[in-house]
Amino acid sequence: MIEFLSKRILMGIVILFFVMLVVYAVMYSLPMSYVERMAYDLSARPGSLKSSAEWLAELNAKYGFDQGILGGYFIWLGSAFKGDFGESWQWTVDVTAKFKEVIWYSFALTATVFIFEIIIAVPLGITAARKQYSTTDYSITVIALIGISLPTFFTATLLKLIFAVHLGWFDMFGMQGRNYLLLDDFGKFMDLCAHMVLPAMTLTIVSIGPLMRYTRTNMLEVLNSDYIRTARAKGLSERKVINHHAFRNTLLPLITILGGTLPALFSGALITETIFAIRGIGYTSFYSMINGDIPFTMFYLMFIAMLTLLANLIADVLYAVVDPRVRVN
Amino acid sequence: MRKSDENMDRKRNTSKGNTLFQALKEKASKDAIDHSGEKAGDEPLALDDTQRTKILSPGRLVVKRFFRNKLALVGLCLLIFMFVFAFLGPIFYPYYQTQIFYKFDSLLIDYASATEKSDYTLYPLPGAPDITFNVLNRFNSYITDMKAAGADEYAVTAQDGIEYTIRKHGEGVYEFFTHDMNPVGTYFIDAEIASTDGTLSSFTYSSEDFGEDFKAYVGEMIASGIIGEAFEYDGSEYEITRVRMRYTVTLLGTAMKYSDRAPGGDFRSAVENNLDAGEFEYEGKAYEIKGAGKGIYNIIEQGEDIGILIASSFVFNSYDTSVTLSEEFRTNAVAAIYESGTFTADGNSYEIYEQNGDLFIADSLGNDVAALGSYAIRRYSGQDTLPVGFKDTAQDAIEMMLATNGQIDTFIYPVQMINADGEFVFDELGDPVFEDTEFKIATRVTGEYVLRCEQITYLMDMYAPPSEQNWFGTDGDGMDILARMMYGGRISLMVGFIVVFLEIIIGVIIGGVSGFFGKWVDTLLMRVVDIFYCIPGYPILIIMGAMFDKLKMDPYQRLMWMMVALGILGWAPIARLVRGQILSLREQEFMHAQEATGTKVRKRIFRHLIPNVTPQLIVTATMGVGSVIIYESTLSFLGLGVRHPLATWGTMINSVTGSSEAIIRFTYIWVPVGFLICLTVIAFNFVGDGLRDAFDPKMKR
Repeated sequence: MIEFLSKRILMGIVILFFVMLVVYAVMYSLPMSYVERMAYDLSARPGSLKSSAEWLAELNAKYGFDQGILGGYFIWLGSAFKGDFGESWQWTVDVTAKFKEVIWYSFALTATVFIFEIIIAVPLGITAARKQYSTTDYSITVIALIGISLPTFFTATLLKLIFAVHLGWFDMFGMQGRNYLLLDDFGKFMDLCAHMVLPAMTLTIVSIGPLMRYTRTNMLEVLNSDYIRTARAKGLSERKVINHHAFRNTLLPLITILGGTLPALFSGALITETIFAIRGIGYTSFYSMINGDIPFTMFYLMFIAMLTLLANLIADVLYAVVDPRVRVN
Repeated sequence: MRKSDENMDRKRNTSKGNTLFQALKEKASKDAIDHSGEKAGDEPLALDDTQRTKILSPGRLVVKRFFRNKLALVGLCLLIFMFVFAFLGPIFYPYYQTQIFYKFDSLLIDYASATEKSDYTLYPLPGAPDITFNVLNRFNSYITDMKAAGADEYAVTAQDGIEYTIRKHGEGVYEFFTHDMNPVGTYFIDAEIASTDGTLSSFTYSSEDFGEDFKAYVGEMIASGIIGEAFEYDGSEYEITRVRMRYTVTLLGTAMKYSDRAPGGDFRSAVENNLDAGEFEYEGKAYEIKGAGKGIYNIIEQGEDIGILIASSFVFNSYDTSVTLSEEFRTNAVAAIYESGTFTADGNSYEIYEQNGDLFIADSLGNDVAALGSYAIRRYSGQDTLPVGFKDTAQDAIEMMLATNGQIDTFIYPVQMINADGEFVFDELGDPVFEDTEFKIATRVTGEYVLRCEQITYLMDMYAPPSEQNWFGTDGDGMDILARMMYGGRISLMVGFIVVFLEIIIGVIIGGVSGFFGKWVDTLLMRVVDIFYCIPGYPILIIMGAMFDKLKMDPYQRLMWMMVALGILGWAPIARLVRGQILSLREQEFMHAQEATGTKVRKRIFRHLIPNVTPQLIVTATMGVGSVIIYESTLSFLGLGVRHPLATWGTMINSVTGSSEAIIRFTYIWVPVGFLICLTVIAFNFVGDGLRDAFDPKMKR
């Protein structure tokens, strides 16, 4: 196990190295005068004590834009290895400081969605499987497919139209109501929660589909297996068959896939956060990206790549942990 | 299910090249041809009949199973509709995606501009002498000085010594004149009249010229050395003094030289008495005494005033805007404002009269010719074709606005009526109809105003609600929504297909090579796949979009790049799928058989392996098109994908959902477009799902 883990982790590091190389190459191929203009912009900012030439020299020293792709990449890698990701150009604070500031909003949002997703999708998927080819099954399948097919931005806009514009229950954008500062601590928390409702709904709607289908497929597989037939044959009640025998076995692949999505709780929701102006990691990095904030973007992309690798690793490990049959191989 | 399973087994076996089943299949198909004339199903079937189950080719089986699936059918119908809508629709629909619609509508336009006339127009008087530009150019500042000092007269001396006077006629009219200077003579009192260094060539008179003879005489005197002694010449006494090398000729005592004729007996004494005063009067004439060197005084008779030009800040507003008022008319009118009030110009006589504080000019018949204003009021295009009445009203309104500190900044004036089609309205007699229009005065800078009013204008038909002409209305650029929906659909579908095509090409090549060759090739390629799996798609596309924005890339070029990027980012799962399939297929008997018979590698991959992967590929591709469409429309929604003027569904939604007001107001735009996206993606997913079930019925169970 330890050998497997260390092998995977080492491989992950190698993959991360190359992923970031590709990302750096993309960033590097931004228009040539870009860094010069950035230096000029930075020097023109209020409170900047350096001239644009000094900024340029500093930027080049830090990100190695004058060193070619490989040279520059190693310079970036060197400082990143030391935990120094530089100062964000868009937010004018340290990248890591900004990250710490915004990550928990994203986490709260994504975690809520994760919980709701499981609560809604798993029972529905199981119900659909139990009543295969019934109207319930068809409607659940269709709902799942529609959920998969809905573009996030359209769902978000529709929800805004219904809940923010027509019903007026929630604000369209932002994380704070207009009277936020007048509220006590509990009120502030509730205000924040109220602003998270629409984004959470949007994310839940667009994400329950795949999980629902996955649950249904696995449940069907389990229900068609011999041990369920045996359980039924020996006269167990249908409830017992489903809850004890079928569901527990369906849990195996479910836990594997859900465990794999755990790291994604930190990756934020790029589109949804931007549409609802929730200042999480997704929103922050969106504006970093469109404004060419190279330090923050590099950090964010590295973070996402790491999360993806971690997710794969967790899924693989869970696969082995949950199902003893796999461990034999 | 049973039946299809049996068929499934047959399909598997035939594909493995089992000769028995091959023969059975051939027989079955022959029988099928033989029985094709008869009604199927009518024939009684025996238990051992080979026709007991109808044998279909694998392809037809798939088709049959696919069409049995209702959801898949719905999806297929939706897809067909989308294709017809997006690809055939534009052929029959009359409008193009970038066709802009116009309409006539009431719009607050800049009707006229008013500028306070603060500088002065100069009207040269006929026959006036020239004036140096130096003085002329400073005219406005002289007047400013005069106003500041509250003076009625202002004297200016030009560099060449000519004196000018500016006299104020009244508010807004100033006259510039000079005096007729008439030199009378020169008065000398112990005057140094000339100097020399001894040679005649350097002999210079300081003011008055005494002639060549005198010059020659003085030369002789110097030559003969008579220095410091008085001598007489032509009745006057002179003395030559020497300081170092300079000789100075002094006229001793007093003398008077007249340039023309002597005015009279005691004129000289009048001059002598007034040497310090500088001016005096003699026999009713004014004289001026000006010093012109040591002991030399020029006496000048002041003659008549000569008017040079008149400056006025008045603006002439002609009643007949087609006629340009002549220069003579203007000059004489300005000259007459504070004088007699009547003047003649071009052979006609005119009168200036005042009414309600405004000045008007009427001709001898009493018809108004022009009005005088202090604001230059022009059409916004700069043409001076506005009626005098409008100018008059506007000027009063501006003054009122200034007086009330901007509280009253509107006025009403009738302007020619324009109907809803943008044409002028005429009554039955053919006369234009006027309607009262409210004008609003906006101050641009001090002294400059814009007069605005609502007028029927030819303008872009923006955000038009659904109508007979535009079934879904128009967007913010006045373009037809339905047309843009069609062309947007074209782009979305095309992007979907091209990107998936790219993904499949790369994926199949890499996955195929990796799966077939195995070993280190497989390891290496799979790590590459891992890398591409890890590259986050949306962020990279967003960065690229922002970059394209900064480069101001052409929309079509941008579209190409976006498709390439989507393809490169999306091939990894397909490569994995193909590799997995090939790995399992490679171990099967039919592949061993191929290897044993020595089939070429290329043939083995492309003739035997890839066709076996095709079902999964088709399913993945169909689903993939849907997700690429979501990708593309999301990017376009964020403003980072396909750009104006190309239409795409995402951009169309983005353009009308910026604010809550827009979300409500333009629901008829973005909701249909949004549903188009959803329906297309749903359709691809339904069809993909149906295909998957049809290809592999085991999965369905």
